[in-house]
Formats: sequence, C-alpha cells, structure tokens
Amino acid sequence: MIRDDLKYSSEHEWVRVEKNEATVGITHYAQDKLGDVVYVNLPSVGSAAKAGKEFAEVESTKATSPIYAPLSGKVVRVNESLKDKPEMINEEPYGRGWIAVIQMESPAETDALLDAAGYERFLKSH
Amino acid sequence: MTRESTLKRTPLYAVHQAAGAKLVDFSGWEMPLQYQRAADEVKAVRTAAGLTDVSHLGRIEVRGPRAKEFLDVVTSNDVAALKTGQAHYSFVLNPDGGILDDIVIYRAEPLLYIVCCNASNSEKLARWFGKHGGDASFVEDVTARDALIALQGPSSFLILQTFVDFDLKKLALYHIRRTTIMGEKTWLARTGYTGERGYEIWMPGPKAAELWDSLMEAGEFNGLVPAGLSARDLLRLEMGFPLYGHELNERTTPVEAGLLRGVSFKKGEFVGRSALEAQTAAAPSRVLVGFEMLSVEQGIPREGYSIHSNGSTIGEVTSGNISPTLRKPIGMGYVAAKYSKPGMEVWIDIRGKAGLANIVTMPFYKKVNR
Repeated sequence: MIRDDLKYSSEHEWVRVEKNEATVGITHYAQDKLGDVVYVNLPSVGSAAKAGKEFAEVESTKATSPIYAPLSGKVVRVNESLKDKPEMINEEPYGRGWIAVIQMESPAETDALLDAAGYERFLKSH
Repeated sequence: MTRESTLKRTPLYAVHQAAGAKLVDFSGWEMPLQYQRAADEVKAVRTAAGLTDVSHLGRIEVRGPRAKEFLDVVTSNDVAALKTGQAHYSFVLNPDGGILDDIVIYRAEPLLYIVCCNASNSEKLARWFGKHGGDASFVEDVTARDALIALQGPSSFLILQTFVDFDLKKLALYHIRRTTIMGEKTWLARTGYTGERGYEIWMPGPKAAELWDSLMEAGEFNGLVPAGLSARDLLRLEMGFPLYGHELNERTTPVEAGLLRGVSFKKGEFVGRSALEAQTAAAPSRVLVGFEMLSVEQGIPREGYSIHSNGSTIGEVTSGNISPTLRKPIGMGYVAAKYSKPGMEVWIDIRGKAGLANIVTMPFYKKVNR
C-alpha cells in the first residue's frame, strides 16, 4: 500500500506536493503499526512547521506517537474532521485521513524525501 | 527460522487467521489483537457479547489429599474455605509480600484445584510451586490440554444456554462445574475479566475450533463478535482491574494495590503474610488509584508517565487509554497515599505537557451487568 504519486519521509509520513503547498499524512504502514487511531492532536493553523520537528500527535489504543513535519513552512490548513473521525487515518490514510497542509518555505526540501520505490526499499530494510 | 515460528499458538489459531485477525506476540503467544476496531469489540461486549480466545492463560492442576494444604501456604486467599465448585481471586507472593502473580483458583472437584494464572508467569509459578514442595506427583501444568474460551457480555447467558443441558442460571458468579458441551466433557466457569456477565469454557484442543464456530453462529443474532486482546485490555481498564506487569509486579503488594479481597488473614501461615500484616498496620506509603483526565485535549495517560501535585512528583501511571465506553481518557497509577482521595486534582506529565486529572473511585464504568 504505497502510492506512486506521493513522496515519503523515513518517519512514515507521506507528502503530496501541489505548487508550493504540501499535504501531509501518515502512511498505510504507519497506521497499521499504530493500531486504532482514537485522537489526533492537530497543529494550529498559522503555526510554523520545521522539517524533522514534531508538529502533531496521533493517539492510538496502543500508544501516543509524535508526527514529524516532513517539510518546513507554515501550516495553512488542518483536517478538522479528524476531531470527530480519527479512524479516517486508519481507513483512508492517503485520502480523507490527511493531517495538514504546509505552505513550503523551501521547496528544495522535497528533494530529501523518498519516492515510492525508495520508501518501499526503506520499509524492506527496516 | 523466523521469529514467528518460536511463538506458541492456541488451538484456535487457524480460526483467528480465517477471521482476518491482526495477530501479535503476547507473552510468547501469537494472539489476536483485534478483528475490527477494538472500540467496536468493547461496545459489543458491553451491550451484547464477545468471544475471546484466552487459551494462553496458564492452568496448573493441583490434585489429591495434599492440594489444599499446599495451596494455602503458597497462595494468599483462604483455600480451605473454598467449597467444591467455587472459585476465588488470590495471589502468589514472595516473602516480602511482592506479587509473583495474581490468580484465580477453582475448586473443580473435592480434591482438584485449578490455578489459572497469567501467561507470562506460568513457568515462574511452576518453578515456585516446585520450590515449595509442589512436586510433579500432584502439581501439573495442563495449559496445553484445553483451549480456554471466554464468552462475555449481557447476551452470553442466552447464547450459552442452548449448549448446556442444565439451567445456566444455577451457575453462580465465581463458580465452576463439569458439563458436556458438544459431546465433550468440559469445565464451565462463570468468571471473566470484563465486568460483564460471562463465562469461560475449557474445551479440549481438538474440539475448540468447532465450539468457537458454533458459538459464533448461535450468537450472531445476539450481536456476538470475536473480541481480541486489545478489547480485553480496554474492558479490564474500564473496570479498574489490575493487569500483571502493569499494576502488579514483584515490587508491589496487594496492600498497595488495594486488593485485600484476594488475601485472607483468617487462615494460617502463608508466604508473604507477615510482610502484608506489617504493611497493613503501618498503612502503605503509596497506593493504586484511578484517575480521569478532564478532556481528551489534556492528553491520554500512558504507562510510565509521572504524576505530579504542587510541583513535586507523587507517582507514576501504570495503565491508561481512552475509554471507548466513557469516551474520555482514564488511567491507573500508584501515588503517595495522601494524594489518593477521590476528587483530588493531580497533573500528569504528558510528554512534557501538564495534563489535569481527577482521582476517581473505580470502577470507571459503573454499570455492572452480571
């Protein structure tokens, strides 16, 4: 369950880049490892995201997991519907389970992300 | 070869695989964590019924004329007071009163006791019993012989009645009896770990899958679903039931855990007795409490988080989660005794942020429907 049209981080986030905006979520692999997501602590709109730094938290029946921003920039939208339906992260991790949109500060940061084949290799080696 | 091949499997392994369960390593057993969302399995057990494979639980038979005397020394509750067909909650303690395991002892026959223990502790208990004179002539680990199936929830009675030829109402809470189910001699007990009315069935391994499937089929109209270990953990947490390795270990005592219902001072000497008496007389310095976070925004407490009051650390969380039934974060932990009163406010250090919590009386979930 890796999508060809997305970029990935080694922290199991996916990124969909459109112009200077990046939609961010967690991968199918990540949601499966976390188990049932029961709450998502979303970043505030307008806050600054820094690549590699924590910007959200996902709570599952198993554990609390920090979500690291895959890119730097400003959080311009968050998925408010996760407040009522956190299970969308399990059900549609690449769709309605998106977490936030970051307005990228330096689009060159996307070069450091993995493509689908790279993420697949990363999963196999870890 | 692979890690999986070293894990033990219950006689119901193929059933779980066929049901699409997510399987995990639990104390060396490959067990179903969940079949669907754990919260939905919890809801089914609270409102209808759930079927759970608990065959990983250790079962040790203690037989014969020495059984009663032996068990009265190595366990904390009053074994001599058990009537045939009765069961009780108890502990195996070290001389310091530390908990080697929390157990249920069933007096199945006049001279047959079944000790049901945690999977993680069964080998330790077998060694401990051996060290205290429980030799192979009357103590036997029979875990591998039978599957153990827990049918729990308000509809469990209706579902199970059609499988037995006696009036199931006659089987009282914390009792066990020999009965024939699907042509097999089984032990049937009215015990569980959910706070709901429920039963546990010992079924010989080869017949276990057939019983599981028949129960599922019979219970379909009553809302019966398979429930995994994740649901089982949430159900016990909602009831404030302790879990070994979390609330209980060799450095905690039944006095600190508030579990003296598993201890009898009316009987004679038993391992750990004097330590428990001394601790009871002096009042324990720390005690197990339940607490609720004011809202989910305060965070979800997890094992190991520290508990604070007025800027000082007063304890540590042992279990925590969002209760699917109450829809709020709940937890248990040990705190200094003077902070243990219901209504007191404490702070939980939730990954560097302070989350406000209230000490509450347990169970968290109060509708006990047995």
